[in-house]
Amino acid sequence: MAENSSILTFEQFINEGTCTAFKERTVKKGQKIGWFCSYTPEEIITASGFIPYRIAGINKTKKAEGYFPINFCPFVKSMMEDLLENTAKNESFSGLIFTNSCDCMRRFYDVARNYLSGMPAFMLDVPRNRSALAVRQFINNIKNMLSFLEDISKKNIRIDLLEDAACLHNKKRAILSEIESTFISHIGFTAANYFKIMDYAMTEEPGVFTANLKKYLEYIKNAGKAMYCPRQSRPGRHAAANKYISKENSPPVMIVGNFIQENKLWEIFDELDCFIAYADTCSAVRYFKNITGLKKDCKHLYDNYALAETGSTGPITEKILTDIAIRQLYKPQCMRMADLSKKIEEINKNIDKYKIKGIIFISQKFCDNTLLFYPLLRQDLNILKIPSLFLEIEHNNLSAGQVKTRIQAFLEIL
Amino acid sequence: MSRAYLNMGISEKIKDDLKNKIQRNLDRAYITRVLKILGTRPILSAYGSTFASESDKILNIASIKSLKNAYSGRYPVAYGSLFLPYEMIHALGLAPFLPEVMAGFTGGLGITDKTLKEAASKWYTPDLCTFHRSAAGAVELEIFPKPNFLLCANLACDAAQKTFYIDAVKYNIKDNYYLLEVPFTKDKTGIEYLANQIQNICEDIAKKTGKKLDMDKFSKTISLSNQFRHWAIKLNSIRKKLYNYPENFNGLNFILPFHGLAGTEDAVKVYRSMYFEFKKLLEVQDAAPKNKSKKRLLWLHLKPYYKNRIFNVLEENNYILGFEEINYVYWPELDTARPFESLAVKMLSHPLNGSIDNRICAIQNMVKDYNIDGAILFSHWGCRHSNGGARIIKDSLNKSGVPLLILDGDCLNKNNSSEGQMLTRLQGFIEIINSSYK
Ligand code: SF4
Ligand code: SF4
Repeated sequence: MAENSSILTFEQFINEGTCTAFKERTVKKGQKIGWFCSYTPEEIITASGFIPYRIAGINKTKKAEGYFPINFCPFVKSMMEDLLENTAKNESFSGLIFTNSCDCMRRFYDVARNYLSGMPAFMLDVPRNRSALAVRQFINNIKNMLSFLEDISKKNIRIDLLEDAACLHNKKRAILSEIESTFISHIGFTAANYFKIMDYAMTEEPGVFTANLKKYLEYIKNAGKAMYCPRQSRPGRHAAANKYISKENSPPVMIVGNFIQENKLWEIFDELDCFIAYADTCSAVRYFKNITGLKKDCKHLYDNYALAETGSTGPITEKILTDIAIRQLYKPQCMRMADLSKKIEEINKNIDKYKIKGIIFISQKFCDNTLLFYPLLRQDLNILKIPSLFLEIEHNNLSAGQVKTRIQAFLEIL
Repeated sequence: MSRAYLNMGISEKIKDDLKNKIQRNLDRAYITRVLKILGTRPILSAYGSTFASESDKILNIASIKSLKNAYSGRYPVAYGSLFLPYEMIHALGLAPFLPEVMAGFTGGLGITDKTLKEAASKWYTPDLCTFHRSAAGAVELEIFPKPNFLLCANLACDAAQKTFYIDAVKYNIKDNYYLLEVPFTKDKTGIEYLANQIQNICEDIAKKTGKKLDMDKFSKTISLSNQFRHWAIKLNSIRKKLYNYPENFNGLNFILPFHGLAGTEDAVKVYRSMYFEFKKLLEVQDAAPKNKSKKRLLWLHLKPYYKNRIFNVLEENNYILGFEEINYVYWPELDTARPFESLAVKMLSHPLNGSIDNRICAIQNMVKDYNIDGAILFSHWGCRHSNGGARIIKDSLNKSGVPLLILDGDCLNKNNSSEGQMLTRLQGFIEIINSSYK
């Protein structure tokens, strides 16, 4: 179903001219650093003077097919296509930050280095364990990323720049969290709109984006007051004429998946009036959650490391890097992490919190980390008696008809 | 009929007989009984005498002994992923069990249909690597011994860390699951990070098994590992020149001793006796240096473990495996006084860790050292880590004038590989190499 005509989508809102215009959405030489995985600390990129830009595989895979085997992550192939396309247009990134997320990503790093000549690429090793040892190792790895960016920018990343960048990204995360709660509570707020905002969040200059999103949030709250209808309080049918009322009555579902950023797919959810109460994907909560309460939860790590080490970067930098490392490792976790029970615990907590009636598990085809989590999740959901739908999709190649029928059938049984 | 041929027939018969029996009685208790009988000294030596070559015999005996221990119930069992430093498991007095390698056995035993079906019923999708799916199915069917500990590493692929975790949940021993995190790069902080993890895990396991960390035992195990390494290097240096292998020899069968038995007397025995066996063959070859017309291939990754004709076709065409990637001794000698750090260095030296440059560098060394005419990368379905680098490996080998065949198939599931297609491609490849020699 289309967005309620009385409420502008974020995209419409920024195009109306009330906001600071986003720069052209292309990659200009010397401007952007490409990144791929939500474990990348964007603040380091910002501090180095570049715009962090998440390469999201917007192109259909053609040429990239020749670099990888058939049964390989379609998302990676599509991201490679983006890079080939950019190179062809001479709009290359200043550098790329890969992460050691999975087998496919590691080989992607190799392919990019071998076939995109001259493109500086860095592999950020992100631990899978959560422990004091792992945090320390991650801080070391982030320091190497910092040096890599200093080399490219030929500038020193000063402490004040790092502090400002960390603060800016935390602000961005906070406002994205607010958007998330608006998304689940607001009748007229579609999934397509929510994920479009994430698109912008991951690719635009963070300062401008945050300011624009703030305005949009105010707009939603004010201009859409008549439509504003927090689900939790289950108000009466005050917007009886509103065609979204059916969404109000649809059972809350949770999406669990990896990088699922398919406009067509979100439109299907909207068309079916499916109420997504929580989207546990790496383009949604895993991207922005975790800024508050962190210090309390991880106090033991801070006691160990905050200000204790005085490496070449000095104690204040050490403190900021510790903050960053802990935030990243202790955010809602991806299926790549070691302790899968923690992920199950997280999901169970959210099932309770959001009164979830069903789970739609969506994975990119050939994503081992995610696919190998499903047997465990399924066992758990069987115990909880929560029905789940398993969807394997191919990035940028969605069989919309089939997917729609399956989601529809699933919603009917809830 | 030669005695060797006769023995080979007997050994095949015994194996087939065993296979049928296990297929009919697919459970842990039955396998334990079989191994117990097979593992008694007289039977083991009688069984050994049925093998055509020394290398085949000692490999089989060492495998049975190791399996017998894991099934015996006398030692705590540690599931281990392939590239773990097994020295730590032996030093801790645990019986190692390698689900991925044993999944290879499920292929040989002809039970993968059953294990894969079981895995599918537990939501393992068919796009995942069959080694792990088959192992997961075998764990669910309770064919494999019950683990007390599960140790895995993220070296090479992502799969073991997930399936092992699911196994840990099944046996309610989540606290005994350990993931050894191998850093992407081999540098000082990486070595320290990994060495600390190895030490912490060892201390934790020792505590849980009610023992103190026995550093003498660690030092002995490391010394045995060095001896095994010494003989493996000597054996490999003979293979640089050898054209005639012992009957039934296939270098792709030695995963268990190379990894799972590292740090034991058995591994030393396997490699030492193989060295002497091969040395004799080299002496014979040197005395009559005629048969050097054979072409030498380098085999990358693993092979199909069910009956297939690939290696017969190679033999019929006068091709041998000059070397196999999995037998490359990639690590430096270990320091008995610094076991944890040494094992960390061993893991970090693995060519499959880190960027593909490490693997390419190792492959190029093997091509040079083993006088290689062409290479085959067996592209096992579902192996993202190896297949993902195929294009780069091909381009790199092409630059050095070595053709590479990427042979698509499945190491375990014969229904997922077309033998006809594989053989046709193999024939085509052989013709290409042959034509370049005309
Ligand atoms: S979708 Fe899965 S396989 Fe693909 S890049 Fe992400 S984690 Fe890796
Ligand atoms: S074949 Fe590949 S994916 Fe499978 S276990 Fe081996 S390395 Fe992992």
